[in-house]
Amino acid sequence: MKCLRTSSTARLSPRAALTVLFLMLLLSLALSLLLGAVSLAPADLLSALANPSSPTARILMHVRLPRTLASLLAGAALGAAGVIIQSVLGNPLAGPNIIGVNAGAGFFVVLASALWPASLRALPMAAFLGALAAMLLVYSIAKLTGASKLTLVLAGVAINSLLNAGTDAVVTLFPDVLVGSSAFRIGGVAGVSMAQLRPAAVYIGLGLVAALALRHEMDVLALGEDTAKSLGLRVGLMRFFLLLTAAALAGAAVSFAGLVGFVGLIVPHAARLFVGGDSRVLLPASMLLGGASLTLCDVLTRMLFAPYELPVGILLSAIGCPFFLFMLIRRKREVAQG
Amino acid sequence: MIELQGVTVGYGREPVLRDLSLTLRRGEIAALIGPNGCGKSTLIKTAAGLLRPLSGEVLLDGKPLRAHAPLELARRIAYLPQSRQIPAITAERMVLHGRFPYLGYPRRYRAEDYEAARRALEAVGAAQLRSREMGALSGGERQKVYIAMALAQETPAVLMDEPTTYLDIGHQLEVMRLATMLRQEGKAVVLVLHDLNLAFRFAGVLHLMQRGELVFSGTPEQLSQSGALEAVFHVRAHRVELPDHSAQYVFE
Repeated sequence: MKCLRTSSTARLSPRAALTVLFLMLLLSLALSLLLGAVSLAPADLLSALANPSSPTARILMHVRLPRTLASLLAGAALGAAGVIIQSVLGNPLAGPNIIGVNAGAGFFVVLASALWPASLRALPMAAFLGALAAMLLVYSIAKLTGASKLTLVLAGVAINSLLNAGTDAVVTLFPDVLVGSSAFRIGGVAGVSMAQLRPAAVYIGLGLVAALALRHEMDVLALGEDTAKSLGLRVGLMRFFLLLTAAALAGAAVSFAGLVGFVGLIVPHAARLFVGGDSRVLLPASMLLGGASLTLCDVLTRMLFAPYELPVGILLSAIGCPFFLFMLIRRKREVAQG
Repeated sequence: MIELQGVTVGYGREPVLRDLSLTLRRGEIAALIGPNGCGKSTLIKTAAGLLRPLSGEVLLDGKPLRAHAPLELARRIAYLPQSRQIPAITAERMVLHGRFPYLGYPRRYRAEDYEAARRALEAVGAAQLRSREMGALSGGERQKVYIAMALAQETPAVLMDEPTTYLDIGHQLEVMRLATMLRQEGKAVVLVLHDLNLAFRFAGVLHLMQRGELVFSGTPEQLSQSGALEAVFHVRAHRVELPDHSAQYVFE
């Protein structure tokens, strides 16, 4: 496995890596706008702009654009949330789905839409509160029981299944809950409307800005609590604020994209292979890679079994799981080699 | 420059340190020694301001530690923890983190920060590791980089928790020579040491601890004659004159 080890030392320069990822994102966005049940040519984009009432323009405005923005926002948000959670908790096994953030957001979203069916605007807030509650719960349980990397994951598993049971209970009791459909459980961005996206986009925008502004602090925090403290960082405050940001990001993504599992766990790992662990590069890289990969996966789900569409959550799990196992094996090998 | 006045420190109900007083001075290497679990790490963390005592006071240059802002404290006291993370960044990035207390917003490194990092890496003899990944370094090399990070903080006090543990003898002596150099620069150097040989050879003052209490403070000479070592470690120290007229101690 020599190639793996050298690949991690001879990386692209940060600027080159970010440029590559940015181009990848642009490509994925273009593909997402053009491909689908009705495939368009690049020239159609221009003609749609010229003639906004044409059928092509309508497909673009009401189907492709919201869907593309949704996968971009959800992917970038979950990628960033993953980096934040992993570095704040100092735990590479942590991810929004592992420590119950997605499940918490999901439960609150389903609950809110069961209790107040007309409150589309409030869903991102509900998701944020759910994500935050789940995260604080898992974090404090792990801290009480020894704060090791393993207890955090185990506490996450326990809270996850509890919250998912809660989601199932609400769906059973209120069978006609809009977002309680299986599509939400699996996760996907098909059929997302601009009205759903708008409030969530505000949270995600603020969250991404906050995360980018604090990436140096995040790096210092990742050195461990004692070192960070001795470097003058207000550790408790910063940790709480960063987790708040991660909750806003992951929660907002879940509020419209459902439980898109692996993005927040896998994307930071994949990005780290490209650019290393320096948050100042890793964070923007994870945002770009998250947006690009979720968008590409969404395009794939439209094309693979056309005319049928696979929910993107299924594809993500199918791709993400082997990748995660590969990361685990690679890690073990590196540890074994010292 | 750091003064502990009757501090009691604990994590749960049972205090780890009880009513302990101690002064750490500039231009002096102080070694904290004692059996495992006697509270050495807790003591050094308290002196570094990482743990708040339940009672008593820690003074930095005559002013209570908690009256100093975190960043101001970080420009006065550097602390090397016993257990260290290994982030996926280069050695230089790692050392540059030592400049965090000096960065304003938006956290851009200035030429003097790069210069401080370079000097620190050179001081620990690790200039050639600059662009290597932390994960690819040996234990001893990582240790040097961590020490360089503490040096880049450019503080008048340097506190290190077991800086020599797990190092081979050559690296151990390098670390101790570095500590001597810092002492000569007039810094207060505080080390938790497991190895009595190193402690007796390089430290000016030894603080012997047992079960959360300070048993004895004094020079190696005073400690070897006090009988406190027998009481705590059940060993006796014999002074051996070296050809260069410095002294070495043998324990039996």
